[in-house]
Amino acid sequence: MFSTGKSACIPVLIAGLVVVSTLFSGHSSASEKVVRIWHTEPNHMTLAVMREIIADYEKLNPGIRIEQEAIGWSSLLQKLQASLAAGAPPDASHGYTGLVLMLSDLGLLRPLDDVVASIGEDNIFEIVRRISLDDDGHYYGLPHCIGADAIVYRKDLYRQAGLDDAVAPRNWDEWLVQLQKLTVDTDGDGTVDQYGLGLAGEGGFINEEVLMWTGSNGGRMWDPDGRPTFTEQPMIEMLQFYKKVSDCCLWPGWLNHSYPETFTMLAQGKVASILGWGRGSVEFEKYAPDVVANGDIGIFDSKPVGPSGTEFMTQLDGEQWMVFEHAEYPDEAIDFLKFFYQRDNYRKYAQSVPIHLLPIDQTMYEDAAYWEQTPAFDTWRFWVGTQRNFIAQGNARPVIEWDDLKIPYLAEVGGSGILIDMVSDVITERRTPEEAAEYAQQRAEQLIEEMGYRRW
Amino acid sequence: MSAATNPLETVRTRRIPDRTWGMLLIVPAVLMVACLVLYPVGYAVWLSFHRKHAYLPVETFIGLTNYKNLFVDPQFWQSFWLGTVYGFSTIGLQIVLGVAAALLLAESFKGRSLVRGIALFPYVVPTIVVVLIWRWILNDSYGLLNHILQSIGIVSAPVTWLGPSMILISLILVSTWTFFPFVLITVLARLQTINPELYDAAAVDGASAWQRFYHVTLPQLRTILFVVILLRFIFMFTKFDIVWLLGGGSGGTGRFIRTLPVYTYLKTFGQLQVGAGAALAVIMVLILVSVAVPYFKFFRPAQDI
Repeated sequence: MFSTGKSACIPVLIAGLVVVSTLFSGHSSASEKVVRIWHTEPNHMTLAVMREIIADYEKLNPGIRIEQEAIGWSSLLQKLQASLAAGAPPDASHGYTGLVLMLSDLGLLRPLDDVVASIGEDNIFEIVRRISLDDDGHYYGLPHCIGADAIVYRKDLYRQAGLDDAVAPRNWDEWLVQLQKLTVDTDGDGTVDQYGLGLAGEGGFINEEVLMWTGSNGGRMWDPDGRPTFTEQPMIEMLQFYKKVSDCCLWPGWLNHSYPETFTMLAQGKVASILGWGRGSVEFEKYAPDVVANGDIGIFDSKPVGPSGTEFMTQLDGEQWMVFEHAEYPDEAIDFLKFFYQRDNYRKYAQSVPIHLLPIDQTMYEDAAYWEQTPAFDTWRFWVGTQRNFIAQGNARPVIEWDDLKIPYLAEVGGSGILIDMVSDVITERRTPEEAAEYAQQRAEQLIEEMGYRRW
Repeated sequence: MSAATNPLETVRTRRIPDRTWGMLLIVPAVLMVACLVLYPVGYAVWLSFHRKHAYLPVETFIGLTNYKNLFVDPQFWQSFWLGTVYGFSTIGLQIVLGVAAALLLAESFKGRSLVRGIALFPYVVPTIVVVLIWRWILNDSYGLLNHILQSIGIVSAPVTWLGPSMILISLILVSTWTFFPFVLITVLARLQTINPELYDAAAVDGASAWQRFYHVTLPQLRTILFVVILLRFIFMFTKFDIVWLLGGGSGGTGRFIRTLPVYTYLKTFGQLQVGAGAALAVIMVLILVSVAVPYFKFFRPAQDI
């Protein structure tokens, strides 16, 4: 009996191996090319449009199957790391500007010049070209769409505070006065229940504020040698301003507030303004339909500048497509991207992220079909227009100075938490702005040295 | 029984010797342990001696530099301190709460089975759900707890439970709530096996409830508590998910509960320094070992476990 069991073992093992190897071989037939693309737009409208575009592409290209996977940002970065370490990256993926530059420097990306040419280089916004074009004259990334951060506010609350609901604050002093007037005890119980500003404290949102406000204050993050400049006056002033705003006009628990929470708070009138992106329009429609119907959600057409600044800067949202050099089917991925950016396909895609992200192709704005069949534009056209102006005027940027894009450790310093800690040190009075900036400077220099990048 | 059908005879006549066959049978297990445990641990140790960028496909040997950098890094010591406070306080509270709850649930009362089931609820709920629930309860803008406290007049303004000054306490309490059922269930299992005659004898001797607990129950629990404390220490000192999620990731108030596992994650996936992250992971293992060894030496119960 024992012997019979043993001899039966071997065929069973072989059968098991066959089953396992079949399972791991995937579903594709030998002649079918499976192009894997990872992106960061998991909303159902975009997924449906992507499925449509993919189906059309597959019809035209028998033997090629496109497999899309929508992944949240933080998960995407980890998956990318793991896939690159394993030598099995996807064929195409989204990535942020710093990552694209870093990976292209490492020779891991394939140029997308053909894709750019298929759109028409001149049709692409100049800012988009600047963030995508590498020193060697090639495009290693290309944003799928773009957007810009703006001050989103409640016009009705501005009017109640005696403020003009159409006039943007020109500088930080004016902004602070506005925010103070908007921070009130509305029900007279002795407790403030409406704050002037809501900010997100989680994730990288503090990083964005540091960048935007320092940029709007005439400051910089890096000197020409790539050394951090956190102790310079514009940065110190930015931290002082952060502290003033936090003390007077920010909801006390803002450091733990999520980004979507700020939209809900604005919708509910707990805060009178926030810094936000167009995706939040959905939150207003959900939580404050009456406010939306009355036209009381507003977007300022500019942002205030600091005491040392002359023009405002805001954050550009522009996740880029990348195609990996050592992927299985990079040529097919590039071909698919050319198809993706074809006018009809790209219009459908842009309409699936209508307020949050705008097309990179400037000519799309003259295309009547782009504005048609998207009800969201009826309500939020002004939001799209403001973002477009920020982008066209050059106020929306991912970095303060364009040369910063050449710094190979932007991603590492950004992800280190050093800037976030610097701000929270000031907000919680663990350090003065000068001390916090000095400490952040030391930490950043130490990190850069540990990475072997120190050049000064 | 004939020789042809006797299993022992069959064993004798087969070609592969028993010893070889036995070795072959354990090969899959050995391979699995080697691949899933030894290789990753060995690779982590190897990485800790290298400068390794998360995206770069090359490593540079730098000896002990990663370790030296960490030992002069104030963030490392801050994380070590926060992890120690978090670990010891949550373990203490879990033991007290878990033993107390187990003693209660060991008694007979109507609906005991239902209460036992409910008591286990926090431990079986996924961590992400636990954190979402508690972030909602503790939120300073719309949270249930503040609403109740304000309604009954205990506080006039919302308390920022997840703010810089309160988040460590909130984390400790939420973690205790989540993980004390582990202590409860293991202690309860042991309580049910204590010989009732011991209590009868103690009662005959006139022992009070406290004396029965102190002189009968506690010595009987010693063995199980020894194991539970060790396991909880390992689990809590390396706890990542609940800490990371409650602190909102790398931003905001997360830095006020940045324990060593969170700092390791930040080094590896935020700063993209895989080598430094590996060094931190190795240090955590060494810390655990340096605590576990004396714990075994000085606190191991006399009887075998």
